[in-house]
Amino acid sequence: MKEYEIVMGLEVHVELATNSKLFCSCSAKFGADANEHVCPACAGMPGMLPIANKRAVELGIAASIVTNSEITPVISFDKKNYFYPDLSCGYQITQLYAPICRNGRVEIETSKGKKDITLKQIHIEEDAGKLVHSHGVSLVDYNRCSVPLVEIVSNPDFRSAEEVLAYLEKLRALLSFAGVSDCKMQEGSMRCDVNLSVREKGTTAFGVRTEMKNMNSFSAIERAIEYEAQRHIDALETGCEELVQETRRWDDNAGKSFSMRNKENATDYRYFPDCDIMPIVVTDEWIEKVRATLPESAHDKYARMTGELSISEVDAKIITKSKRLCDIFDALMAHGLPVKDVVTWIVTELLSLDIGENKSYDDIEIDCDKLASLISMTNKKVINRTVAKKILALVYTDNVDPETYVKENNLGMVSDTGAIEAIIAQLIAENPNSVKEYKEGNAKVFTFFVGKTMKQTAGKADPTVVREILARMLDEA
Amino acid sequence: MKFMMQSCLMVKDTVCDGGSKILEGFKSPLSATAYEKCVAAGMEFLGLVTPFEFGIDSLFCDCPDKDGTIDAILEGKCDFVLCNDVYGKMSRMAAVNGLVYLAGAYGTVSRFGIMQTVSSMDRVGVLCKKAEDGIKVLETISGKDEKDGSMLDTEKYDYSAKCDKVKAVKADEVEMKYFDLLPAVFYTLASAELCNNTNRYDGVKFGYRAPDVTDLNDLYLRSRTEGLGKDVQIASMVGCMVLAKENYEKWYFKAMQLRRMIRDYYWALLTDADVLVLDAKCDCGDKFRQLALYALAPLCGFASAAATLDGKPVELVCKPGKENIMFSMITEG
Ligand SMILES: [Zn+2]
Repeated sequence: MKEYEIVMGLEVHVELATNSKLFCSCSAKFGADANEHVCPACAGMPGMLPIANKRAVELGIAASIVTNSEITPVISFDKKNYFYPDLSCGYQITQLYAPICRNGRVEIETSKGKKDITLKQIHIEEDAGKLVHSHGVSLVDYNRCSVPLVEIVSNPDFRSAEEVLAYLEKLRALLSFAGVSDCKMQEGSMRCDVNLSVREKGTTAFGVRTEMKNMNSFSAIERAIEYEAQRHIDALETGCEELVQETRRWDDNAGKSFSMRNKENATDYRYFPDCDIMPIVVTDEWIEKVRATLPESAHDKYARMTGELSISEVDAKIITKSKRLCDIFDALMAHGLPVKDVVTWIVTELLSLDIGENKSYDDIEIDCDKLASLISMTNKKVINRTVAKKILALVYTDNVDPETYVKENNLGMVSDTGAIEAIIAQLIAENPNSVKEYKEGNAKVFTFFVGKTMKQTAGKADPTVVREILARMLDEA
Repeated sequence: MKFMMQSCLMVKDTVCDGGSKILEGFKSPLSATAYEKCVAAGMEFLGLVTPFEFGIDSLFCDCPDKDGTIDAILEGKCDFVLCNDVYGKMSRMAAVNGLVYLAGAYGTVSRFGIMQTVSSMDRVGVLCKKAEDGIKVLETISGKDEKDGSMLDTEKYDYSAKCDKVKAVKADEVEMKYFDLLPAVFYTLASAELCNNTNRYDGVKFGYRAPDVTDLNDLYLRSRTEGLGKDVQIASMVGCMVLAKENYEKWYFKAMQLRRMIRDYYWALLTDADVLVLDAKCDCGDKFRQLALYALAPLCGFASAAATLDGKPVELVCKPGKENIMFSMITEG
């Protein structure tokens, strides 16, 4: 068999973190009831005119800066025509002729080392609504209609699924740290289409290209790429199938890609300039203003953590991989907790929580004030670590207040040494054989006694205190 | 003053169908800025008149000299009517009936609340009997509006100053360059924009929906076929054609280039002279020729006035900023 090379280009859609929509003042927030965030403008009614959201353009500039792109001095908007009920106006406002930027570059790191992925362009556009099919009828929800997006179009620089995933992770970090987007795949605020072709290794001409849509997670993207590449190779090797340039829908349950109806493949969008929106001049001053107000990047945070904060490189790498973890880190530090405790609680405790399938660190929603009070209660030995871990899980799932919870459930650490001594005295009396074994030098028995004592106190005793008392009393026995 | 409005301009909580079946029973959620400004100035709103669909003109059937809008003035129902007159129909009918039609330059009157037809040319205009009234109304409705992003920066306009010295040129005294091309350029651009702007009328969200549709395609096809008039349908098809990928360069883009060239030529001409006077003949045998007369102002962003001058129906055109001079020609004394 010949050796093949996969060639891929990516189109990544990212929803911009603005309060309002791209051309009206409706809220752009996720998770409202159907059609709650809709006005005459985004419902496509006549008489309304689009007014461009300045904040969306600024976030577009921020996306251009963090991807090392060349910003277009005068940007403009264009109309893309197609009929579908989720598109209220019958056209989408996007950027074809003068997008926010071109010629970007994003550095990725894989097992094969570092590599630059080059970007063709980034353009700002509005999202469409959503169709809901149920009980034989189709309903339309315009909440997402006209929510601002950027589409980041790469050149065909990818050669493996690993590179694609590394790029998506990198993009997510760059954009979420810059405050451009929260980049949540399962909420659809980050979406990715993969253009894929296969060619014999060593050749330069591109093979027939297919575009895959509808991958909702990183793992689905990986599976889709593997499947589609193999389909291309099989077609080339066996000639059993003729490859055609088309759009295909990935079905993650079936583990297969399916050709979309030919009609969608033949669409001519009849792009033309939108004359309701005047071209916008992006001055150098404006760009510098946006640059100056960019939040600390993952790279800078990493440097600060490993530098002045003396956090290990391993831990700093874990925390700076996620904007959310960094936010939690900063919030806990603001409570004046010791660096060492903050790092341990995030890296060891928080990350061992069961956060649910298909969720990433960025999805961790936790009240940092409550987390801080939990940590300080542990430090002050109000509760022990085992209890603290259990409460952490409850803070995460049910947002319980640690202080109230400890009081109500009487989980405070048993610091009454008299009570512990009484328990141990009883244990010694009940287990003469074990005491004998201990005296003969069997160290395992000590652990047995610690366990028994902890169990008797319902896990509330301070293990260090238990060990001290136990050692003393066993010696005395 | 008492006024009426073509129903392609919208009034809140009122049925505004723009003269189209596709908006049958459509209750407007908003009011046009021009309407709000008139009401705020103490003018009394009497009601809506029905225009030709969305205020465009039929290029494919006979053009009448009169319609309900003209009658509203001739019969003394009101003092003025606010209209949208991209195709020049209201101007022409006003001139031949001895009435006045005034329209400010693009960007001086807010387009908010007009049912958009040709976004780059939509202008609210005033139909009335006396030029003095029209000027007052135009001053009232002009000025920057945050709801329309394509407006000029001027907050207030004053058209009251009279000018004695007017350098007016007649069409037969100057070279009317590109004049024969105006209808083609106009119709190419107007169709593209009209086609796009009427995409929103699809039977899904509001307005007319064909009964007993079988599927989505049937819903679109029949709602639009039954709901939109013939001229909008023809413009839609022409618009689709000129914007199609394979035609874009040779039709739409070329028309845009020509628009720029036409504008540059006539801006220079109207920098030198103040007002261009065109004979507003009503020659229905050659409708495209007719269109040429009225395409100049919307294509180039000029202000225009249709009136009777020296006993003849005329269309006057001037650059923004020279309205005073132009209006002086049609006011008495
Ligand atoms: Zn809205």
